[in-house]
Amino acid sequence: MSKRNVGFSSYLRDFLSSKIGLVGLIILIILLIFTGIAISIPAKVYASWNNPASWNQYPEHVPPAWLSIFYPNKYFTTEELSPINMSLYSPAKNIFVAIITYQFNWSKVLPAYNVYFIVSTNITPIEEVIYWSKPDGYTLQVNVPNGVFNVPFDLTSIRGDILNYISSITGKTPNIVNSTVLSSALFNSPKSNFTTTEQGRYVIKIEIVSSSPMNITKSGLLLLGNSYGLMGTDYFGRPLDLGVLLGLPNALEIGALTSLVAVLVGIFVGGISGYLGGNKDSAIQWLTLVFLALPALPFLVAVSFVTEPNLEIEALLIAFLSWPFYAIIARSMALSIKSNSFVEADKLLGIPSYRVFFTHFMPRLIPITVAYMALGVPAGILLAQTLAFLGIAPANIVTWGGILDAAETYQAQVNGWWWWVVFPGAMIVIVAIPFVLIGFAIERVTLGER
Amino acid sequence: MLLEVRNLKVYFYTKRGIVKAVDDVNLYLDKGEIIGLAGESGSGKSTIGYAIMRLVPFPGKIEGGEILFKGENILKLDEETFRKNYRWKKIAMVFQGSMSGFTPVFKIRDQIIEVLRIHGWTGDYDKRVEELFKMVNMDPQLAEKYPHELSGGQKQRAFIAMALALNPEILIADEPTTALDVMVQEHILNLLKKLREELNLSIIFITHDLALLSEISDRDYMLYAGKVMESGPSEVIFKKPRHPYTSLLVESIATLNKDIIKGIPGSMPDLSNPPVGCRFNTRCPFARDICFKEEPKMKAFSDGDEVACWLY
Amino acid sequence: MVMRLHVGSISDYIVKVENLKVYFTKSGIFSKKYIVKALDNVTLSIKEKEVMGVVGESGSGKTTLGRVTIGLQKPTAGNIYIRVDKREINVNKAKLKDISKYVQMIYQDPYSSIDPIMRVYDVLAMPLKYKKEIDIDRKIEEAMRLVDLPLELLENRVYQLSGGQRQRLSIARAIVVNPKYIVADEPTTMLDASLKGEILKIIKDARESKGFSFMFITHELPIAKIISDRIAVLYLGKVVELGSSNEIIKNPLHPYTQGLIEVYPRIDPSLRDKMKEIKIKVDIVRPERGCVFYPRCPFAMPKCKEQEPELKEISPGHYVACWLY
Repeated sequence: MSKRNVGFSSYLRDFLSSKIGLVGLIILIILLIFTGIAISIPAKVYASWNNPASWNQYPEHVPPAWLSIFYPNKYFTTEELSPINMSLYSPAKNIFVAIITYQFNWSKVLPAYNVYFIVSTNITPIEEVIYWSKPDGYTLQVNVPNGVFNVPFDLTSIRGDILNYISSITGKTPNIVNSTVLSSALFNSPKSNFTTTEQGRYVIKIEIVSSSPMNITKSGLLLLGNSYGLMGTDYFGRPLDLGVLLGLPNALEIGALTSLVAVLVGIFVGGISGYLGGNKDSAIQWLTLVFLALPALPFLVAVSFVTEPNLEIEALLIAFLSWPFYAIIARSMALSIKSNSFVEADKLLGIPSYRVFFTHFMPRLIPITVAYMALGVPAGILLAQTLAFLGIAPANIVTWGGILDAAETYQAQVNGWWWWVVFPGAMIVIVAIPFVLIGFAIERVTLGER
Repeated sequence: MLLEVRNLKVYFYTKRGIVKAVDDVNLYLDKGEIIGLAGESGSGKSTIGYAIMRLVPFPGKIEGGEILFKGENILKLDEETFRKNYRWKKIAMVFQGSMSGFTPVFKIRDQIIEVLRIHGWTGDYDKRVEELFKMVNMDPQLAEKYPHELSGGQKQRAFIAMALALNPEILIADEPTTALDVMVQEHILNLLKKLREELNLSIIFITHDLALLSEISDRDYMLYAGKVMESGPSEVIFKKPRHPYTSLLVESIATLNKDIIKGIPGSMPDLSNPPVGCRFNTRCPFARDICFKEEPKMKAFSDGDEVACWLY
Repeated sequence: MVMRLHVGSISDYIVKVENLKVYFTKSGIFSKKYIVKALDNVTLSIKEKEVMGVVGESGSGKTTLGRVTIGLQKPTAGNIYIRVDKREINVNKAKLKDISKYVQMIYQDPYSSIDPIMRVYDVLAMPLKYKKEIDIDRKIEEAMRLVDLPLELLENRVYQLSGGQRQRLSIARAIVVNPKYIVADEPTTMLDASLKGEILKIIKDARESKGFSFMFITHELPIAKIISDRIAVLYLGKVVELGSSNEIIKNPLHPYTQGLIEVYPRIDPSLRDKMKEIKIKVDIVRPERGCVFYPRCPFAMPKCKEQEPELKEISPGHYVACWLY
């Protein structure tokens, strides 16, 4: 007969050898690694999430970039171009001209989502003109309004001239004026009324005129793609993969933590209460009912008046107020377990109370514990958003619930921006999965194969 | 023949596999007879009772065979017809005491009246209840009580009363006296004998306690692992059993004149994977090679005994 | 009132109870309080290495008697003593922790007396571990052998075992901690007839080899006769007869004992058509005073209605509580 270890270590060994448990554990570890990455991201990135201006140069509400694998010419990502030539000269006294030339070959079947012109000089120009030459030979001349001198600007800033161009070809001005419409004027053929994209060589010249000598400090041309990143972007152009990553610590912390804490505390208290019985049981029961009666949200609002909004504290408070639900369930389970004579037999055999509880009660309470924990995780995550909505959560945080809330506000589903809903939603479920798997494995190990 | 069961098969479809709880069982019951279905736990005897009542619980299914009540195969009837005409009307069942057929929230009297009403019995309900209670030697006053107010023996007798409400021809009694005191047990056996006398009731008595059968049944069927090992008149079964299983079981009955009781070593085989050959081969002290290869067929003897064993 | 004759001298007994009363107060549905007398003035002792059979039917108090002697239940009145290493321990005053060193219990239901999710090895190892025993593996092997369970089963979980095997494991668990006195509460009742014999044999062998004392509680008289040295017959909380098992069966004195023996099935199919004569009325009624058996007794006399008879020694070692004697 082999030397065996009675108790926990043998269970641990079995757990690690079960495939389901290992998979669950691995997923959890992966999530924790990403959480670590997310935590190391500097705070200003988090802050920038809530500042739409930071995302100007990102394409808005575009799908994920990997779609280009399946639809090679329909989906493309942002291209940043450097000038192929920069020339500075002074044609006359006190007149200085700079010409920045860009050139690119366009092979896509769609126009760029938007175009950003990045031009900065050390002086204020008198005049700025863009010469946009299309493959068919036609060159469009656009005057840059002086409001956007020396700041990056996109097509909407120069829409006046572009709209004139469109109406001169089609005979009317378009009803909707967005970057896509404007871009179609620059990339699509007038012959097709701007519906078919012209492929070929494009040459863009930017001419800057000033009265004093100038230096070009920044130059670049951004052809915005119609897809971005792993998960696409939202209405403000915010990359959702970044949003998901930034929201991960919160999700794990609030979602998993509240669920875990509430369920573990509740089941433990309820289980012990049922196990102990007698006066101690009655006392704990009474306490449970008191907490059960406490209304959670008003309590939280009251607390938020006293302290500064802090998500962790509020989450823990919610957990603290939800445990009674689980305690009641666990207690009745414990009572039914107690009715078995093996509980008394063990006491007679001199086995200490804590051991009796862990050997007979805990394993039987685990299945519902795990089930509730898994169920509680999505609820916890969305809870964080409720807190934000009520204004009692800190404003500078990124939550998946927040992302989904924005998706709902901007009608992502109606507009067909499925990536905005699917990825954050899937993540909420994914966070719950390792708990489910680990729970299955624990159940299998302690209760045996049934 | 009042009831004939031919080649009955009842299989349970479980996660572990198909458990062949009853595998090709034949039995018959004549009017006014009391037969015993005996065997250890798991031998399939209760399942046969449920099959006759067509109450086999999930995940069991009657997979083959016929059950002929006065010549008509009741397995072929649809559920509605069987319920209306046979179950409880022609064949009734009494279960083990702990699974009381009574709900605790109504009086006994009301529950019996409910049974009468559901089956469309017309007549004076109260008088019938009184009649039934007198038939089971109980004070009709007790019908006014709730089930929990009665003792185990009283509850069981009340249950028999309820089973007899519609005057069935067959009563299936599944372990009717387990968990009851010995005196009460004997009273109930006397009661069953009386019912057979006065009502010409035919009874199928299912039990693992052979001692009881020796006192009441005319013929017995010895069940093991879903099959009948031996069947015959009680005199033969108890005094001159032929099958080793029967004789070992009879020997393991504890009577007051014994100083030791032997048992049967080993345990019943896994019915989802029954052994090849005779099912009793792993525990039989007389097992030979052929017992592990082929299943023995039933052989009839002149004294009414039938045995399935390679010794014969 | 206190019978000293059958209690035995200090050097003789392992368990003794004196004037034991266990009463429960129950409130009816409309808060009508009434007292249930589970045990009423019981005096009894069990000798060292003896198997005392306690026979009774439902309501006799036999289970309560067993539980009270090992401290699982506190009596309403009376004394309980356990004698170990020549010392007398008052069970009432002692803590369960201290008593549990010397006593053990085998329960009736093998399905709920051992946790099915445990490993068989752990079932036997845990109590040894917490008693800080050494040489655990050897002791476990010995216990498994004594109850005739193959050592391979140690790797299994309890739910993989049959009812008979679990009950044997239950016995192994009780004897592995080496108690002096074991209460076996109806250990064979839930088993098939073919398995009862084995359990009895195991208990007999354990007593032979290890010298345990047993209180064997059962409602089956023949089982009590096979396993016990002496039998105490209980009825509604009172000891109505006490004697060696052979004596009790061959020469029952109390009408209740006689009734039990008469009514017990005998294997004689030729008698099956006749109604069995049962002299004792079927319904259990507890009288207000007098002999507890009076309402059902076929030999009841007026005296029985008024006065409670006491246990009297009729022949050496054979006691009966009945006005017939």
